[in-house]
Amino acid sequence: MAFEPTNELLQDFLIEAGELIDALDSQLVGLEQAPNDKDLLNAIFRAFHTIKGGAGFLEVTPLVEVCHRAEDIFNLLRTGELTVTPAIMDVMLRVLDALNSMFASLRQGVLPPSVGAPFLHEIEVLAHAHKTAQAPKKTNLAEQPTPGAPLPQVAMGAAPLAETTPSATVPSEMPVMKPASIDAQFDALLQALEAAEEAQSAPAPKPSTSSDLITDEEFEALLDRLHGKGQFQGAGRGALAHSSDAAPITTHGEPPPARDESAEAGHDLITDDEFERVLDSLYGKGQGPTSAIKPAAPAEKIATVPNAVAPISSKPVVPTPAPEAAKVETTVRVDTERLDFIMNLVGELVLVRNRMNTLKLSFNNEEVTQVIATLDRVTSDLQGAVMKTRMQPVKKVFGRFPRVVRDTARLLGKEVELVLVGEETDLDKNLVEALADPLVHLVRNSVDHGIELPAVRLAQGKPAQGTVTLSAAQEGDHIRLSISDDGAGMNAELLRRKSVEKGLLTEEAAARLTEQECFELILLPGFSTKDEISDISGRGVGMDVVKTAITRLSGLISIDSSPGVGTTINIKVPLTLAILPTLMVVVSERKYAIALGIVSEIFEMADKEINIVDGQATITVRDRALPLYRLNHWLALPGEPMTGRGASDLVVMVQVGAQLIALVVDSVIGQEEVVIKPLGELLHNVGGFAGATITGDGHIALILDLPGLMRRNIQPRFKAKLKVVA
Amino acid sequence: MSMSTYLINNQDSLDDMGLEQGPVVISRWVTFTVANETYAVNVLDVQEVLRAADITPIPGAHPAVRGIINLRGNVVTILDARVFFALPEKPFDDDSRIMVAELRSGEIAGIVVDSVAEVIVLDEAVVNAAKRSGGDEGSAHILGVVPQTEKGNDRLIILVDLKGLSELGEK
Repeated sequence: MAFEPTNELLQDFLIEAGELIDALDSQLVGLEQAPNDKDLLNAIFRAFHTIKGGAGFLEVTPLVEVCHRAEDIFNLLRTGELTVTPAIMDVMLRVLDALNSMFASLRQGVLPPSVGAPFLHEIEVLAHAHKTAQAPKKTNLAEQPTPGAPLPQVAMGAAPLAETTPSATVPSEMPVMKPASIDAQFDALLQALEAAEEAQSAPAPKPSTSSDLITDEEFEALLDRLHGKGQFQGAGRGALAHSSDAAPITTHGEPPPARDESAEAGHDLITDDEFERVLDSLYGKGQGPTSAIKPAAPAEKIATVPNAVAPISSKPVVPTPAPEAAKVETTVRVDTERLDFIMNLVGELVLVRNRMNTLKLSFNNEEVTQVIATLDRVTSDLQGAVMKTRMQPVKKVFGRFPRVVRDTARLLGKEVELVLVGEETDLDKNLVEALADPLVHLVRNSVDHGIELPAVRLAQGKPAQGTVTLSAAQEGDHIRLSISDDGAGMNAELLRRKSVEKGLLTEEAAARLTEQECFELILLPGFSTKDEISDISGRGVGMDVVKTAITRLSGLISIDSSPGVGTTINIKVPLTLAILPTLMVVVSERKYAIALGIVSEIFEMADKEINIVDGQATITVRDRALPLYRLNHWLALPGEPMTGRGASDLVVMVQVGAQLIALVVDSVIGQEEVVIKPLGELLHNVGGFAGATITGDGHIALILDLPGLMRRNIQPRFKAKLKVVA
Repeated sequence: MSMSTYLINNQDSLDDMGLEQGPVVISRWVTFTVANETYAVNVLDVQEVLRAADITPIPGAHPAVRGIINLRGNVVTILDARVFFALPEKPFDDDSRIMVAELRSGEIAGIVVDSVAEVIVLDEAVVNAAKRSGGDEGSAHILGVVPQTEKGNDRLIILVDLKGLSELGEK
């Protein structure tokens, strides 16, 4: 089966089902915490059902078979026949993982492989294993000799879904049926079913899960019930809900006309999936499974059906929520590329506005000034409105954390509660995507290294369950994200010692670090390795990667911690990446832009004391020595003299990663909102520039990437630089 | 190349070119000069030719990178042909031009040349012959050399593959 990635249906399915799967992640974890949340159960059930439906339509059998089984389990859960246990959740989360990987391959236009019969079986077992305990008085269908069970792998053209039926549960010993006869039979059944549906208020049986095929006989048995020929008043969906081989049957009522069907068993097979489709057609017309399900047949009788399809539960089944009445569409799906294009155009407009603003001075005409003022306002509004269309709630990132926390905690034997705050905060789409990985890293770190083991916590008088709080809030034109835990915290002294041991700092330098600066040591590349001291262990594995990612987003990261109380990591990122507020400076008569977010102060060099320490110029600002760099040295062209203008120079103090540095510039023009234009590929190996922008006067200004620029210019003196920081 | 070739059946134009009779595939080339040497690039590779523009230098970039310009809102990297052909640098003058082309990587880039002269028509057979003879030694962006007679003077025109300039990054 070839999948055209361009297939619109497939694309729609991937998007819609993809969203469902994303939501499932947190829903499943949420369910574990609130096992009796009916709404949640229903939502999960619906999600699996919807995914299955779409997958069935697209003939993605491996997806169908997994979703189908998961759906069954959730059906039992929501009817109360099963209760949520960690074991079930573990399997369900693995189901989700399987779905995710299937989606990944579907996105590449490849039909995903089946998860394999053992896993499918594992899911099925969940249903009856649990029930066995609950309802000892059941008929063990698994022990039924199932002469009809060895179902042939029915490969028929009309039943595309049959192809990948797992063979483990369906031994293929029987001869393959002639497609034509099956089709005919199936059509007949379909008609019969439709007739039945009119007769009854659409009792919609649900087929077996363990076997992907059901026999004609079984189907007829179902029809009998549908018709009410037997004493079935309405075999509801739940009645036929699940796994056949060992599913307990807790039904009562009159037996259906029992026939010796085993003789014919194995003939006239239709696949589960076909059956499913028939059901779907029923659902569509009728009301879906009826809520008023009458007690059905005695289990024993049903059990005589070969490969019994119909383990029957007598409990009234919560009706499948009828397809929601079509809501009035108020949303439109727009390709993000189109949004990006609009954003670019608005960016251009912003530039034109900036130019107009510059030009209006030369006009000195009241009317022109007014028109430009209007243009200015409209452009700003437009910019804001377009930006909003790209905003996504941070929930999109947060959604994956319950799972991350749960898995990590379970793995480590810790008890951790995740509190999410400010999920509805909107963030630029690109940021949402870019922040996901660093945040996962930080959250995992919090659980792994922050939160102590329950025993340790109790010994310290803390509740056994640790808390990790992930919060997001908008602060002006920035978003502040913080990850805090009430765990062990970090020991500044240990970090200090470690930095000396690693040779990153001299002893004196380390001794001068403030506590805050000690924590920020973990952001340095090369600071952490596996042989770390235990209470800081891992804190910092990959932290420099996190820092790099945040810095790339023009963000800031800061760490606060106190031993025994916990650690808080704050991340500040701009609302959007497309338009960057910058400080325009002049260096060697050329304009450069520095992201305003990292600029903390501007002052005249003349006021300050400058010393040369260890070959590095430092400037003392409020009793603090900062390394001083001349941007004209860093940004010199070949053959250009590198002279500063001396005392009239201005110093821009910027935060680069965890450290503050002072940069000498020729002059400062002021604040300007710029649109970042990427540099071409020819310039990709040039470090130090985040891009270029077109300034108000139509010229180009390079946007400085200070970490990159520092790397390019002072990498060999990394140690020296650190000494100076201290 | 199919896009860049024209099938000429008009007898007169063929006579004008002094070529043999019969259908001949031709292609058009833009000639430019760098240090008194004439080069040519396929006309279809050239997106536009700009007068010397305000080039913003990039500190720390490859020597062949002259800088970037603002081309109607897009930032375009400008390379210097002189550096490419290992010639001494020369400041911009009135004849200097920037030829803008789409490189093989899809990136738009410009190249600074001393002057842009004219569009010439070459027989594709001649071009192919030049391609076969040249290009084995030296840079990948030189396709070959074709002889031309102009005002009684014989001269050699060096055919350049503008798109191939993107290989700069790997140097």
